[in-house]
Amino acid sequence: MARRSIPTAIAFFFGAMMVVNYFVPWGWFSDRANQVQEWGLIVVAFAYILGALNVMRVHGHKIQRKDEDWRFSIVTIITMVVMLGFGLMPEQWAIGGMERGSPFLWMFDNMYVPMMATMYSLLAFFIASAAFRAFKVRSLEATLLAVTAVIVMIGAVPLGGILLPGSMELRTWIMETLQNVGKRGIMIGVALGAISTSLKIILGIERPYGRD
Amino acid sequence: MKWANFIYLFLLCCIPVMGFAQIVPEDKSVPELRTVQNLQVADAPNDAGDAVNLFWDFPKDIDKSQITEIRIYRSTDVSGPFRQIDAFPLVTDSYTDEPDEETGHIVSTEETYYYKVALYNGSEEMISQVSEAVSPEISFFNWGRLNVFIILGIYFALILYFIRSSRKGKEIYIRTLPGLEALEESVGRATEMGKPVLYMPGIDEANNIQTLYSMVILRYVTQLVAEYETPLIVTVGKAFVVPLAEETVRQGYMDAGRPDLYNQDIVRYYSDEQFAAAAGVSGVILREKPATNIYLGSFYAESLILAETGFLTGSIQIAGTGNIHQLPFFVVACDYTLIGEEFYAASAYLSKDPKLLGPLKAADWMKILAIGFIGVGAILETFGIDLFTRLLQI
Repeated sequence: MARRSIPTAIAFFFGAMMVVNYFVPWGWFSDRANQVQEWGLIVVAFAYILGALNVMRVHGHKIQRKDEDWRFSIVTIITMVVMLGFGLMPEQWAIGGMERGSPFLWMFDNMYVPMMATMYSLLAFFIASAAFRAFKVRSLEATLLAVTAVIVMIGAVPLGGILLPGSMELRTWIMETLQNVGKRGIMIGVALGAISTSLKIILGIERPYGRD
Repeated sequence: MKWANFIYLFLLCCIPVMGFAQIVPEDKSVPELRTVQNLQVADAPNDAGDAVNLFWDFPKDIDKSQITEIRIYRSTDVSGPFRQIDAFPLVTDSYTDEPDEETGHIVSTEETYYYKVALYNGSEEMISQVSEAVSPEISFFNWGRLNVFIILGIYFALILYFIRSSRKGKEIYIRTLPGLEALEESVGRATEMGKPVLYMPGIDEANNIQTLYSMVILRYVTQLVAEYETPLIVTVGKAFVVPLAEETVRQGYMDAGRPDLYNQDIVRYYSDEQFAAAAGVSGVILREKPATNIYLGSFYAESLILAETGFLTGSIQIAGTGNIHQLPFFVVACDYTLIGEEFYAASAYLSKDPKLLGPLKAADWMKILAIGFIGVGAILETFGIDLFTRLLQI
């Protein structure tokens, strides 16, 4: 009984506190609410240790079992340890710190950032392949989608206005009227769903935490 | 010839006159700068007692282009001394005196304040009369948010009413959601193929309601895979979600009566960095080729990278998010997509629990209310009546 009621009571207390904080501007109360949020940040900081342990455990087991592509796990663990090691070294040490010229920042700028940029740039190719499938004219809806997409694409480039007069205005109308109507409808639904889910969690009707 | 001489003489006379006109200094004397009138002060409403509003009028015939700065002075005594608390180049007729952590400036409920406003034109400063006394007061309720409070109250009342009526046995209809209908079928397919099911609860923090709700669905999915004895992979993109996901998966296996199937490697954390996590999860999809990929939670630009990678490996893909900008990507690349609110309906749909069905019905009624508000507001605004719009403004 206590196993269920104590987490629910804690969730209700802090959840209700945050709701009340939105309506009560009283400094004493908002200070308490801000304090609770700061506790959350502290807990989140500790979660990074759990995250690092999870990486070590999962990849350690993979190496131990010699699972498929287990060598990649060695690379993962080594890079994590190396970055962590350089990051934790004191600034006073020649190879320590995170300032300009430090090995940590060099690795970050020359290895990590290009890899992130590479992943992000892959998105362009994925968009092209997804669009190719989506714009195949197979039904009335797909035809409408393809025609609308062509108008929007032509209207988005400066040459479009010359190739298809009025396409820029049509694009603006599609984006600001048709698109916004659909988007706002979904947004209202999402907001109501989020509110009702929050209430269900606060009241303990829905419990993503604790055990039954 | 005579005329030519006359014109020549005329031009000769004009030149010195024009030159004289050029060397005559412009009248650079600055017209007398006058200061603001009717300085009013009032406690800022709906606050923690830490702000004071100031309003003033400019003289009707003042040339505002001369004003280079407006300076605000404050004292706790009507006779001074007045200390400058702010100065700004913007020509405005109002100002809010608020605390500033950087400068250590405070506004306290325990003090009475007097203000002066000065106009500065670059060389001289004209200071207004001293304002009336004002003491900031604490508001215990933000009346500016009364409309939100009332609407939220109505929504909460509707939720509780429909939960109650649903518990009493009143049947609540939910339309078919193909994405959720396909969940069991997709787990069954994974079982037949002997391949794992991949579940990703988004890449947002645990304080995002979508991530929290995704844990509710994860518990259901875990029960399902436990019944079928299908391997499960849960990929996590935020360190804080790791213990939450581990606990949820463990609980799911226990609910299904198969705690023996749980192992610590099910939940895999990749990185808090968006594309590092996307790269890690894409790697899992390409290497382990899960038969089913379930993406339910808060996703951003990585959504298409994951969904397209899953498409390339031929997985059945079910996605759902409240982040509307990512919905088109999921719709294009996944087999089933839960659009916006459908995502939040998952637990009610899957469990058919009356306690969970009630809020769905309440949300439908709130949508009818919203449509009504939008319609009435649009009609009234068309006729130039903005009362309704102002009532709903925050």
